[in-house]
Amino acid sequence: MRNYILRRLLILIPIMLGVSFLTFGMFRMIPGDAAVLRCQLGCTPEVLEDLRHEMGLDRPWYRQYGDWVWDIVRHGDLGQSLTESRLPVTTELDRRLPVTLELVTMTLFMALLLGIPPGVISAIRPGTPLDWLARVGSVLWLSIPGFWLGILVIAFGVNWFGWTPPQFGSGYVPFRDDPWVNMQQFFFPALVLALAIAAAIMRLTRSSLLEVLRNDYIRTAWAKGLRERTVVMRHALKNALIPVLTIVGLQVGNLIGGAVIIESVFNLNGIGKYVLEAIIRRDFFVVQSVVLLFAVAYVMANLVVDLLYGWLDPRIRYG
Amino acid sequence: MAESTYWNRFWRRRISRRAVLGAGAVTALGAASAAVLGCNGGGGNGNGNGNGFHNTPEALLTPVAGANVTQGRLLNALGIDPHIDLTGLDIDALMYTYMYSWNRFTEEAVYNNLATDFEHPDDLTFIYTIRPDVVAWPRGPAAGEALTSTDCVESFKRRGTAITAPDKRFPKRIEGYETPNDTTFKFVMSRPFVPAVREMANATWAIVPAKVLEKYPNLSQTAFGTGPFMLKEFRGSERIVLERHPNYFLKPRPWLNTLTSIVITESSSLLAAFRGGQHDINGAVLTKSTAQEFIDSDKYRVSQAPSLFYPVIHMKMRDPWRDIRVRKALDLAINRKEIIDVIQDGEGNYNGPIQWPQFKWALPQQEVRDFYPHDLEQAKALLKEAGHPQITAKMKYPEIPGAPIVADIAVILKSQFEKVGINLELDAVELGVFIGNTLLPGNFDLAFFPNLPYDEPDRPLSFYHSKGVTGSGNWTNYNNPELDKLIDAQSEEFDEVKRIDIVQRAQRMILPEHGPQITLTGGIQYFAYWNHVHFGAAGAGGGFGGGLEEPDPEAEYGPYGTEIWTEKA
Repeated sequence: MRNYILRRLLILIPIMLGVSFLTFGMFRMIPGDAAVLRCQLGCTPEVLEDLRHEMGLDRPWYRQYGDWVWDIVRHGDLGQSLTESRLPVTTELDRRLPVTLELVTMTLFMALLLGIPPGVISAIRPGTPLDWLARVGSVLWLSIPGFWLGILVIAFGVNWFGWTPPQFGSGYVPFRDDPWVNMQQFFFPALVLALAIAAAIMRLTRSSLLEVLRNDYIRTAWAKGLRERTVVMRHALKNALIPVLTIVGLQVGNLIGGAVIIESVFNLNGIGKYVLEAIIRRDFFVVQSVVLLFAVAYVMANLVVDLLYGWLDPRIRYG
Repeated sequence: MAESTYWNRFWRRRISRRAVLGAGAVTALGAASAAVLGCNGGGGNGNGNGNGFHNTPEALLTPVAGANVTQGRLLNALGIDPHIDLTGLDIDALMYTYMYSWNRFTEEAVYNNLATDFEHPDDLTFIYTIRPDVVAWPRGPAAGEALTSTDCVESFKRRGTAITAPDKRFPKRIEGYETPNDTTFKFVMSRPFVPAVREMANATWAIVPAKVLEKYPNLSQTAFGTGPFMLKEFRGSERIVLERHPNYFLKPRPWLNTLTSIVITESSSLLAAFRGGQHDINGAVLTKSTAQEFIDSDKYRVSQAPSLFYPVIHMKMRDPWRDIRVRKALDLAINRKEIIDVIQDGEGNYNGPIQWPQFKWALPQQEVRDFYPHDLEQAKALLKEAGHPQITAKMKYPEIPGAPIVADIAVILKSQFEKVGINLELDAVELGVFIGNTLLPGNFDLAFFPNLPYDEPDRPLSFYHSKGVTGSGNWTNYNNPELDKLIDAQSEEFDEVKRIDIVQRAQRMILPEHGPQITLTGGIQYFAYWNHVHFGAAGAGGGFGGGLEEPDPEAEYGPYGTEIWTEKA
């Protein structure tokens, strides 16, 4: 097991290099750069040249990339923003990471809560109104774009109840400072993000459980006279959850993508909002760093999923 | 030099009763957002004067001190270096002191700020006497020290030399500075430059203590000023908190204890925060229809101002646009009334080369309307005569987050041009790419974009100059030596009557050229705030650029931000 984890972690190195190089390369290929955006319309060619020199954009591309990678390796320094602020990327990530982590954690928790129980009910009561309700709901949540739902939540909140998320007036409040306000900040963004993921989990749980329920060992369990709850929860569900777990791991990518938009709609100053603004400003040190972070998060999430397979099914061994 | 009308008014204002508490300078909420979105007025650099309030009761109310106000903000403030950063100018204007303020409505400089006296012995020499009691915040390298003429010199020098400082035509013409004593600041220019008068009241011309500039070469994320508010917290993408400067020279102002700006970059969320009562002052862009709910409610107050939003079409001077008949046909195909009706909720006017809200400088509205008939048959005939009965062209325009109006107008133009045989392919380009790869290198046939909301005639005219707005060539290859002469002449003419004449002659020369920049229409902008918020006497302003009604000429008020108060103290 230890060797397996070590191997997976080592694979991270080429993945990170590849991801960062691709991001760097793509940003070089698209037209427009941070110097132009800082310069704005009053820009003369001379000013632009000075600015590119000041920002280091006139150096050969391999030097720019090499220096950036070398600074990370030596000092853990991800560079600084190319905008007027010149804020260190590491500082900003430190400040924003808790926001995104809390959002992602809460979303995953809600997605599992809203996805698995309806999926189980739907599978054990096929063809009933409950099954129909769960299936229609899942199609609905998969079809509605999260950003639109987010705007609706805010609009209805303010029009019907005069309520808007607390961060609209005060900014982010950490959980340790005020748990109640913190929960108010994250509940609806997490719910909006979670619905689509929950729908996918629900559908997969249903189909997977239906398949497992047709197996001989389940028939044996019924024949032994076991209660429904024991058959389903103890014998069937655990096996049915393996593909569900896979989809949860893969959904981390969607979750990160969704967070970029939802953080903007709900004014959560997390990493998603940060990278969206950085892309618009061609702030490529920020984009490279955040994409790198997202790649690591994705790989790690799937590593955790792989390890959980062993817990769900003891027959799975890691070589 | 004989004193001109322009300077006479300058002079009168200085010695009038209002000189101590004159008109206030206002920065529209997010000057850069105004620039980009074309929503708020307040001048290209954001330190224009505002009024636009319901006049009568405000002047009679007694301000309550000690309150806290929260306002919404649509765009991030990337930095607050007053000489460099354009995205935080509204914040800068609250933290720093300026030579004087500017009343955008009357287009007058008003001495309610650092300078108390002014001499202009000739067109090249400017001499200011400054207040001795404008002191720095009680923290920072110059804590408690009074601003001196040396601080003025150092600030002007920095404004003129910083790489990314905007529009340096004025500082480049400053030949030398003199500081005979701590309260006399003099500079001499190599050539006259009349727009400098307006420019010195802009938010990018802050006077910063020299000690601060020495210790902090980069003021992007910190500030040590002398203005009415001190920086308490700056997170440009989240919130900016300002607190009262206890030693501000205009005691007991400012009335507020704190002024907090909350940044919400999603427009509908920003509006919801205002509706929900989390913001006292709305920061979202409002149109007539979206403002209606606030107009109808007695919980809010809404003011209006002419928009300096300035949508234009640029044509590259090559075939087929080189042919004046084709350009005229394009102009005739534009139905400006339809744009006003559909995009501007039926409120608006036609823009000539200078936008209609620049009342003094723009051509009379009727003249502009008469010049822009909508005549499809004549347009078709002209195209046929020019040998281009059908034209296919690409029109590039920028995609600006939060400003769907740009795309909306582009779509209307496409449908209007189709009716005369000009088939447009619309090409929406990301803003950074549009600036860097379309506009600056002149890489377009037709380019449509919202121009900056200038409130001085020089910049709008520069687009027609062969040297362009940057001084290094225009983007359209348009060259008209006669027009160049007029544009140069107006920028050096201090006599206001003569300057108006030159500016209007230049516009009348531009109109029949039908290019290279075709202007469209300008509407009305709306500002909403809860009714417990007050902005002092009419004319004081408080985040709102311009107004529809003339401010009270007898009103007294301090610089931008000092007069805001609220009943919720």
